[in-house]
Amino acid sequence: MVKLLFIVAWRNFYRDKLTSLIQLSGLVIGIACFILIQLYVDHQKSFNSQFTAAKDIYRINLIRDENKPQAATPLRLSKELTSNFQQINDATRVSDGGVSVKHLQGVYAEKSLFVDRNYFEFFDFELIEGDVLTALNAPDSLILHEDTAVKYFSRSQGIIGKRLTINGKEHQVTGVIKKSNTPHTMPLTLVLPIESYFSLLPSQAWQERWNYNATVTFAKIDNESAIDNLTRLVSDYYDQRAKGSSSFKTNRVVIEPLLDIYLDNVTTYSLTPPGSAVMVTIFSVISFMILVLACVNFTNLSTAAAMRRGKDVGVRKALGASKNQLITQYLVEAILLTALATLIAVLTVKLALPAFNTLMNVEINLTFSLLSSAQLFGLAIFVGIVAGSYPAFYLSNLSPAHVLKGLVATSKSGVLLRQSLIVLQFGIAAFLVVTSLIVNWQMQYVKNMPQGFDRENVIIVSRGADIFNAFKIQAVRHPDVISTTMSHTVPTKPTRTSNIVRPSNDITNEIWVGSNPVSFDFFQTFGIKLLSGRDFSKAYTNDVYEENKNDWQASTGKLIINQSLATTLGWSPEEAIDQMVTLGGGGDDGLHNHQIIAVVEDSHYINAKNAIPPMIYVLSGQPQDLSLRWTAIRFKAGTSLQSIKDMEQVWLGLNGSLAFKYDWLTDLFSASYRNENQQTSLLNVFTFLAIAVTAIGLFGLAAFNTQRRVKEIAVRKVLGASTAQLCFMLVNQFSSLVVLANVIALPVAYFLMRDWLNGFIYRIDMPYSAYLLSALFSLIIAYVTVMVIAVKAASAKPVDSLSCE
Amino acid sequence: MITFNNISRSFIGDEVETVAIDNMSLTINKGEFLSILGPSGCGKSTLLNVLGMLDSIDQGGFSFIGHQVDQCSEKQRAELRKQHIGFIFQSFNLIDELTVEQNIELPLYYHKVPKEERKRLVDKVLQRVDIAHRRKHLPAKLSGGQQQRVAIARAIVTQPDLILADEPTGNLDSKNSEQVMGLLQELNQEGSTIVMVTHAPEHVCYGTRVLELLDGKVLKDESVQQETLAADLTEVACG
Repeated sequence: MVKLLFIVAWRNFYRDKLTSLIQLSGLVIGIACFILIQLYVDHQKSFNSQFTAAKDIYRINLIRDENKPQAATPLRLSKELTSNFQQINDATRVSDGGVSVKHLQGVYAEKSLFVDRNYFEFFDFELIEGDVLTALNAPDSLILHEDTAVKYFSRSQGIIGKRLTINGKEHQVTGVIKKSNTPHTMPLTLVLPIESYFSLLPSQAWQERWNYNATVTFAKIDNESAIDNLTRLVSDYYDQRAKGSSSFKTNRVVIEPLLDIYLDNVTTYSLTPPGSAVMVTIFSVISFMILVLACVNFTNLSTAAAMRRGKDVGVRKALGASKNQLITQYLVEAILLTALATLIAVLTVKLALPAFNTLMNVEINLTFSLLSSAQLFGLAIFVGIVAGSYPAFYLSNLSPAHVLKGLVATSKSGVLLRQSLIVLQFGIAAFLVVTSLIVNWQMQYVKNMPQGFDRENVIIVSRGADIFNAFKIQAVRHPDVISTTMSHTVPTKPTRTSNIVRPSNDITNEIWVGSNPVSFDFFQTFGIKLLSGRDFSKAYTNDVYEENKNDWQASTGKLIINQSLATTLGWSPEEAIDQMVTLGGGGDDGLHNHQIIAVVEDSHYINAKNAIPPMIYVLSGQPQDLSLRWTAIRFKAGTSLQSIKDMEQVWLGLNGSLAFKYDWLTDLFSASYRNENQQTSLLNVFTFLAIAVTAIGLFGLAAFNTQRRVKEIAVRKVLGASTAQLCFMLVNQFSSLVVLANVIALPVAYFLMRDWLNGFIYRIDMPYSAYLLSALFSLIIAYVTVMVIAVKAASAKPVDSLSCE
Repeated sequence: MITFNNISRSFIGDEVETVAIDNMSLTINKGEFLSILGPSGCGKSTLLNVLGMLDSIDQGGFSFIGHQVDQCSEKQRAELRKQHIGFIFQSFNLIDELTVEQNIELPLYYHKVPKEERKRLVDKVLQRVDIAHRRKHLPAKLSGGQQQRVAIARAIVTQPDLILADEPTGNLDSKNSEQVMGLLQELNQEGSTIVMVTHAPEHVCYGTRVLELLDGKVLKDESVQQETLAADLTEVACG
């Protein structure tokens, strides 16, 4: 009997090849998308789960005033936590920074983590060699990741005790971390003891400062219910100590679970770039939508095909089959088809994964465990039942007397169901089309809007304050170099320093501004236009910014401000020139007056998702004075790689142990939109697939409907209808459904997109054309799909269909 | 009106070639009511399809009111069909989703007749076939005889020069059959040319001429004498 079930299922599949193939391909696409997105979502949610104590580890973030939370904390925080709060079992610090590694003849720029000795008690990476208990004991310890080990020593084993010179000091390899399969938020950099970090500080006293935030602090707390109370206690403790040492009025902490930090893209200064929880949710929803679309296809085509099987039901019932037996038969057929589809979908996913990994810059593997196989099996059964139950119950409920007379075809509820399903499908498709159009346009807009600087032909080199003056003299002699400068921060990177500007006539009015200490030629090198006034110049000795800590009033230096600040102060660019403003008075510094000499256009730092803050630029007399960090070089357009090599030679000639690590400004700019680009492409891909599934379903249904109307078509033709008229008639039956789908879906899309766009500071106006395009597009898709079938049916010779009485 | 000059039509199946019309010549004049009789497979339906230009011929000449149909393109044939021919089928072939009057209106719509004119013509023809009281009904609600009257109304609403009827009484009981045949006869007497394929010899007497086919050839071709009608009818009915 069971064997017969399978045989009948197979024969039915085979008999109606077109319908079966359409059902199958729709299911394959739907299930494959679902699996793929679920893999991605699982991957995004699995960050840090590899660490044994992950559940008990928390990151301490600071919130100062109304700013976004930040992961950077004072170096002394971890010590304070363990000694003053008994609920905190342990704490550890992780700082990051760039180092120069000298090995054999080369000097390489590397990133490094600087960690406490108990690092591995928190983050229990597996070591290929070395001992986690002792690896960080010596001040010259060095732990490498597998890839870095291979880079320097061409192997990942047998290198314990090998030496590398880091920032001019010899270090000895004490451990090699094995590459892990599950993702985590620790950058794969060198790992050094935190003492090495202290030696980079300008002063050892900074270790004890409450307002110098230079490390990420992790704490182990095994009592989850204590978190709320602990947050309050630690916040008060921190606030008491940090108050007065900085300009911030409130200082709070957030205790954030380690398992949450990857998808937290609000908190700044994370060690690795975060993912986006919103996007993960959106993709989950899309994956379900596509699965629903595929199920709908199946249901739709099955009930349609059921018309042809009505007779089968009648005969079986007349022969004594029970309703349950019939339900079983049809469900088994549905489940078998979905099982087959799942198998093909898994293969598809396997084939698509490398491309997907490249697109999303992740490393997802398809592994088969007992659990995942069971899940897939469950998925197949579930989809089979969801998709197959309506046809099964519908068919088994048919009255044999009716079906044998051929009366099924006029079932009103069946027609209505199929029509609603088409509306549902096209609704989802129209929704996705509008969404991706608007997302694409907004992203294009943000990327192409004027950034307030010229990103072409500029390279940014990390560090170099000590050699900059000599470097500049040699560099500008190069025929392809237009100018070079140094600055504390550069466009595409956040402004790290803030200050308070007060109008001289109203010093109680505090305006928070970003501050960027720069060297000469900054504006020329970055192509930032002066709107009024003059650039900093060596001709004016008073341009250089110097705070006099003994007599704040005696501080000197001129200011260049950006347009936002001029506007905030109520001045046009011309009016601002020669005005005096007062700086300081935030924390331990006194008030001091400075004169404005120029207004420059607004430039985006970080990226255009952030508002441009009011900014001041001050001149650093010597690169070391105001901790300038980035060297920038502007080349002539179309310069060759050789010019950069020349620059590297000059650089290394001045300091052989400082790596010349550079990035094109255009690359930094693109990188700041990488996540958005990835997610936009992913959205596009899945929108396309959703449309494909919808079109496949419509194609099947149109084929069926047309087949049912073959005779009608012939009659109309005999009565004088032209082929064009007939095609129009066949196509038109779906257009009102498609229009209805748009009417339902577009308002939903409108409200969602309105909120999404409101999240942007620089945004496009709601593009109503997207809705029109989506409606047009879905109509065109429907027309083209149905037309393929209609043309064939309408141009057939009527005699063939009329004679089949 | 219609002239066949040595026409042939055969169908090639998997193994055998079936000759449906074998080198046939025939002239049909305006105003005739021609009944075609013959056993199944003798070529009746093929002949009717060829006449209605639903099917093409393999060879021979076919002229229709001055047009050389065998030289015409598919499109021209469709145009001729639209302008001059009305069809009546055994299974009525009404469109289930349309009401009686919508079914009748359909060919006028395809002829691009203006709306007012369509209404007038439909009204007239509804009266003519005596089905006006059912004009808003769907075909499924009508009896077989009523459905066939609607189909006849639809065939004549464009005032075609030629009406082709393929076993118009095949699905009807004798009472309804007589009504339908009476209607056709009246149409003929009002001037329509009718060609009818039938299985029922007793219906021959409603026409003016009878053609008997066998194996794609004309076996017998004679006029029906109205005075022999009664005798024939009795003979056939009794025989």
